[in-house]
Amino acid sequence: MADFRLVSTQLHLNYITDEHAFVLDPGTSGELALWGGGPNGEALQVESEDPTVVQIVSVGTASRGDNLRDVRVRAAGFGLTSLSALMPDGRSWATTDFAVGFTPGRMVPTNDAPLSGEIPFVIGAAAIVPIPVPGTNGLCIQLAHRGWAPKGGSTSTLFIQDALGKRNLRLDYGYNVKTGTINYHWNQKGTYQIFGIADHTPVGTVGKVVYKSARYFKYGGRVLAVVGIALDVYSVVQSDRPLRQATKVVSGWAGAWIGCKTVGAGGAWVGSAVTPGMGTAIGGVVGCLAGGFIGYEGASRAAGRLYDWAEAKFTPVPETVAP
Amino acid sequence: MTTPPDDADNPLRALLLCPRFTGEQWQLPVDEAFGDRVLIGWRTARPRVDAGVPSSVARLLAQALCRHSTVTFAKGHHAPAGASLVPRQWRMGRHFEWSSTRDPDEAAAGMFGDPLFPWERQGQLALLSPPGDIPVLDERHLALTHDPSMASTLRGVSVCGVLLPGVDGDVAGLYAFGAPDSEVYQSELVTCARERAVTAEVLDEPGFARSLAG
Repeated sequence: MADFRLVSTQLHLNYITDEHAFVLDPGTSGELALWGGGPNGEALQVESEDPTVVQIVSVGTASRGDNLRDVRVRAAGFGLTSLSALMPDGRSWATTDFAVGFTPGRMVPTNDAPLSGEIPFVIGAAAIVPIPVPGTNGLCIQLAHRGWAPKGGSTSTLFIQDALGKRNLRLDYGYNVKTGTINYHWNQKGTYQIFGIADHTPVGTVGKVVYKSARYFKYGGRVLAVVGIALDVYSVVQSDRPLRQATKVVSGWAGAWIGCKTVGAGGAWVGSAVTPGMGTAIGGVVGCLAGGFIGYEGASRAAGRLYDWAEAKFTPVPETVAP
Repeated sequence: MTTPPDDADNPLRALLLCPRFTGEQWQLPVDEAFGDRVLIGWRTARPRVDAGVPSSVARLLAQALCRHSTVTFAKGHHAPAGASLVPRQWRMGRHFEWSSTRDPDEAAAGMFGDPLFPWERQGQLALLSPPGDIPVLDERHLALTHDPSMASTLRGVSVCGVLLPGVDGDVAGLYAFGAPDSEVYQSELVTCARERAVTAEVLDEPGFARSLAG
């Protein structure tokens, strides 16, 4: 029988019982004790598995009674290794983990990592929420048309339109009767005074990129919104405090919606100042995304704190029997 | 529903007609089974900045059609809930109704001014039936705008022609598959144009495209 033991007066050396490991401060030395010997009383030789982490300075004789021997060690570098007490034939008779500079521990997979639908929901919301354009008497940036459309939808992918779709500026692809060619162009009705863009005005490469991006974003965004909602609902079901989590989730959704509209409107205003039409749309969507994340995060956190405060304030104290 | 905006400061100069057109760029049916056809366009004094049919053209078209037919068009009530997010079926009676008239002003406003069935986004159509006949239609007939095979179902409901919006609503396709035929309508369009001191030009397809571009 043999084992390593902590010597009581050590300043820099500790023993972590749960981890069965010694821990030594970096750049210091310490002493531990090796108790016992081989099955037939053989003297054991102490070795470090990794001398770059911890080095054996000296192993004393059995001086502490009952076959206890001082083992002096020095920290050589950060890391985790082990010390072994070896039989004369090289077999390990006792061993212990030994760390320098940190507390050893095992990675334990957790079952309750919080899931959040924040990112997909906010991105999805930007594809769904009508983003108001300030100073236009009710025009909003949208990726869907108003009113009835033939099967297959509209040939336009980006709309800046009023609630009925009566006044609209839309990014379209198809035959342009003014140029006699098939191209990407604006169509507009009732918005010329605002954006200064006439019907059938061709758009350049940026317009083509925006047209295609809007098409993918329209459908991808809807999918992401559904995924975000599903993840958030799942987080409520999995939570150990489902009412609190539900409060946070619903507040997050509302915050994202409001943030998207508010900051999106600001982005549209800035974008309009740069490039009316294209800048309006890009600024609006970027602002919506930023506002959505801020709104979701802020509202969710505020709701959590409010819930905790209310719970502490109004949860009744259990009744106790009077003495 | 409102009448299309007046273009008093930008008068109509020419009505353009192109019989038996074949180009797919107009985004109109060119299937022979869909009936005899004529492509209708227009040119104003100056290039227009707004999409849609000029009010002068709207009245001219409506007058020509109403002289020989009852005109039936979709009249919107409200869009189905969530229609901007997911495809929804438009139900007759609930979301829209078919409205028939022989009054040119009412027809012009209905065909070209309904925001729920926007002509300039190819969301409207006008069905022509013999004077006094009100065709029995349902929501399936909205598909006429994109499904030429639906034309075969029209003969049984006393429809003898249809006016469809072409690309961006900048042209119209007039189809006739019964009496009166397309030449009658074409002749009436020319007459109505001359009554307004507007030139009516019958062109081949390349000439039509050039004239449309101005």
